[in-house]
Amino acid sequence: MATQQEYSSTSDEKLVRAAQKGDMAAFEELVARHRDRIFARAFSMMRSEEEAVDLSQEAWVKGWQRLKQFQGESSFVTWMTRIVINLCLDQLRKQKRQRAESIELLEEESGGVERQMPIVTVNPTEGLERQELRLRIDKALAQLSYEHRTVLVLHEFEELEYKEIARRMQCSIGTVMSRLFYARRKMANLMASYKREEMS
Amino acid sequence: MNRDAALKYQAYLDGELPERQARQVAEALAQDPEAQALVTELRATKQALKGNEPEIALPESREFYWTRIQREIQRLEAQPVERGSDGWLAVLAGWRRYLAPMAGVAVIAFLAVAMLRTTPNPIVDQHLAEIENLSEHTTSFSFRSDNMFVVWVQETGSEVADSEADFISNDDSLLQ
Repeated sequence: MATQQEYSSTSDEKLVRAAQKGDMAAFEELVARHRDRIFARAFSMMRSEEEAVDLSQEAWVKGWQRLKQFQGESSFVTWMTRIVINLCLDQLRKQKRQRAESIELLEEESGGVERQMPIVTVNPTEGLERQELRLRIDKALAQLSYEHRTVLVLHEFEELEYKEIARRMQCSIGTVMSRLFYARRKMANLMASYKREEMS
Repeated sequence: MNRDAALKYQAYLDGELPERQARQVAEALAQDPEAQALVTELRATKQALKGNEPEIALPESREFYWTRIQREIQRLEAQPVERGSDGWLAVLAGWRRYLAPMAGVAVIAFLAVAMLRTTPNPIVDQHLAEIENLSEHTTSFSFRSDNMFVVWVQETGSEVADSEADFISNDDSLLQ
């Protein structure tokens, strides 16, 4: 077994192979390397730091248990990201059963609300520093219902196709399209309102 | 522009339409300024999000975060492996689904029998008896009712009973 210092310069592929043979120090290095990204994905979906920490840790435990199934068809971090997404979706489904549908979602599913929003003609993100843009995106994401946020995260950040999102969220492709449309329109309007606040 | 058309423009933007349909939508888009404005807005949002996922750092140290993961892995690995897929355990696991209904039937049967037995029966009540048997070495006391027979056996001279109740049975045949 190599030391932690030796592992810091080892590639993910080698670490995964070592971990698949039961080397926990190699797995610890993988956790240290990618923990922020796995946590960030959980946080972007859950919007709760505590839940995101718990779910990301649970994802790592599941990752270790299923490591032998990892064939290297995608990168290790992509594989881990999919595990944490599935855990978050499960958790969100559980929470959804315990609460009433959000008014926002009901309005969206009854149709037409997103079309009442004015079309944003001036790009509200133009000229923003990357850090500032990220902060505004984060702020706007927090305003969305979890269904809209999740569709947006899976489509824009995970780059999943409609069909794959529908499969993971256990809904129809039509619902995915509708939620994505609403989420994008809402995001555009929120970003425009932040721009207006900045100007005034 | 209706909702279906708007969703179609979005699908076009996302490259989700088949080639032929994409061509038709592109042609329709070229003639519709309102649709063009909508697609421009959708594209700007898509581009703003691309590669700009908020960066959020884990609020815990490497050691603290890892320790909990490691502890959970070790706890799970210390548990005996569930062997639900082979041997008699698999058969047992298959029967698990029937346990709840079977338990329900058993409870009902038990209650029915208990009710019958607790119904006052003047003839049975007359059989309640307590018998004492004194011998040279042991002393025994027995108590008998219509559905129970209890025997206390004690060594003569011994202060402590070997057993408070050596035999308790609800089996009617043993009461004869």
